[in-house]
Amino acid sequence: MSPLLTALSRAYPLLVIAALWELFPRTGLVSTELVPPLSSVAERLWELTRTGEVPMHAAHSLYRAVAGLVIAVAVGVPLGIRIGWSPRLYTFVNPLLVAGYPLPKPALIPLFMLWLGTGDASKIAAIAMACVLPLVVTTYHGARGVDRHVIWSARSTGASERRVLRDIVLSAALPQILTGVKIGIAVSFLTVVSAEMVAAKNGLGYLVFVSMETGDYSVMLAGALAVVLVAFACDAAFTAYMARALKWQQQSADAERHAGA
Amino acid sequence: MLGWLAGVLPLLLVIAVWEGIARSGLLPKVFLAPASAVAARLIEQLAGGALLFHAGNTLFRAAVGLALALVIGVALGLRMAQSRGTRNFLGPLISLGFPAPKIALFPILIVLFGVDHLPKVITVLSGAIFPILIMTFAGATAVDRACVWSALSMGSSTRDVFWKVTLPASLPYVFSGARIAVFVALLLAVVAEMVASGEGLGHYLVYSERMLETADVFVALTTISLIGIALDKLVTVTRGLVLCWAEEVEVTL
Repeated sequence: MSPLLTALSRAYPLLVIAALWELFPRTGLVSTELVPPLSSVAERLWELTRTGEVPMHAAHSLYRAVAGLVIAVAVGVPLGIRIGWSPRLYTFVNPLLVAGYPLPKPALIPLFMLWLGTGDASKIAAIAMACVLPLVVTTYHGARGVDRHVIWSARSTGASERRVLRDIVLSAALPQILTGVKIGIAVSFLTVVSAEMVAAKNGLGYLVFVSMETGDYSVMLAGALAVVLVAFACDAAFTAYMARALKWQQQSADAERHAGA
Repeated sequence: MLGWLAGVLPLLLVIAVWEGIARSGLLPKVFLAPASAVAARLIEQLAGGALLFHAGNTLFRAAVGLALALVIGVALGLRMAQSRGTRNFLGPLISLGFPAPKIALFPILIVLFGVDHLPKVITVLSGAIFPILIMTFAGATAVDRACVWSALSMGSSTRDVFWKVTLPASLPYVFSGARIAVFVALLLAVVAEMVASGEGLGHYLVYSERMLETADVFVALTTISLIGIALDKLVTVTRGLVLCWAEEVEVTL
């Protein structure tokens, strides 16, 4: 099948939904004030993008999400590797992880606002907390899964403990770590939009919420659409990066299979 | 016995440090309410009925949304495994919808349905359905072909194969998906209540923060955590009862 046809066959459900969104408000069953058709929402979104308003809000949201995720990686990956390495540390940290997991991290936003005020810091802290747990867990599993023989041979050739951890364990755990980052992207997005709906002065979540309050429903839907598109784009971009970054893993696995067979 | 103690020790340590710092006067009072004060407030709110009222609301919304997500998600997941048409239609929608934060839908739902239970239930449903649908589909497609063929060769109808082979084989996957769905359901219910609600634990949390009632903020957080732990335990225990024969399935979303 030609690439165009494959692309179309993948996109057709979206076209169906788009058509429904366009036609349903026009039938008169719902007022077009309440549910503007897709064309007017898309037009509004384009207009807001041109004036720079949507990019401004998106930039604030992305800044918070990325900052939180970076902190989570900087804290979570080393911690995950250390826990994977030291059973004693694991026994100590594990109950804290288990206790912390069930709490939805956006619930920490009010507490962090008491501690850090209503600015970006409280939101970034909440995002970091939300992302750090899945990252620690996936990194831990990645570190545990490293082939012991590779580690022993590295040690036997005189590698220092730090080099072993950095060059071998980190590289071998990379697929799991990147999976953790992928989860982190979705989690950071969810947390930042939630935080902005609860208390913020800018950001995509704020945009959606405030336009609901002022009754500007086409902006509200345009903002929601922007959120979905940005989230999808970030996830797709990272998945593509992951496939490339982990190509050597797949290649070495293939080579192993050929050699062993 | 010792293992249990080792599990609890870090938490007790954290609580002890928490109590110490809160009482030391190092931080302004609004920052940290001592663990003892939080415990006292918790009992007070519990006895007064306010906590049960809020928790009941949150649980109701999460549970209804979750139940709907289970019914619809399992049905769609199984259908997707059987029918290429359904798979081709729902696949791209799932890929698009999965990374998106479902809470962004909430204001739209408020506009359409007001600020009562319905918009929150729909938000919970929209989030919880994804892990269930995806895992059910994964389970239904992972059924060992050999089992299906044996059943067919022994004269089972396609209906029997579905109910007696495919469905039971998919259940471990459904449970793994349900475990995540429970987490998502509680998250969305609480966040929706934080954004716009007159009652519920999310509302209680945000309201207490605005009133600078730090002890109540901690009470809300503790209650939400306990509910999260309880729900997760519920899923694992149910799984143990229903699926004592099956191994744990790793979740791949």
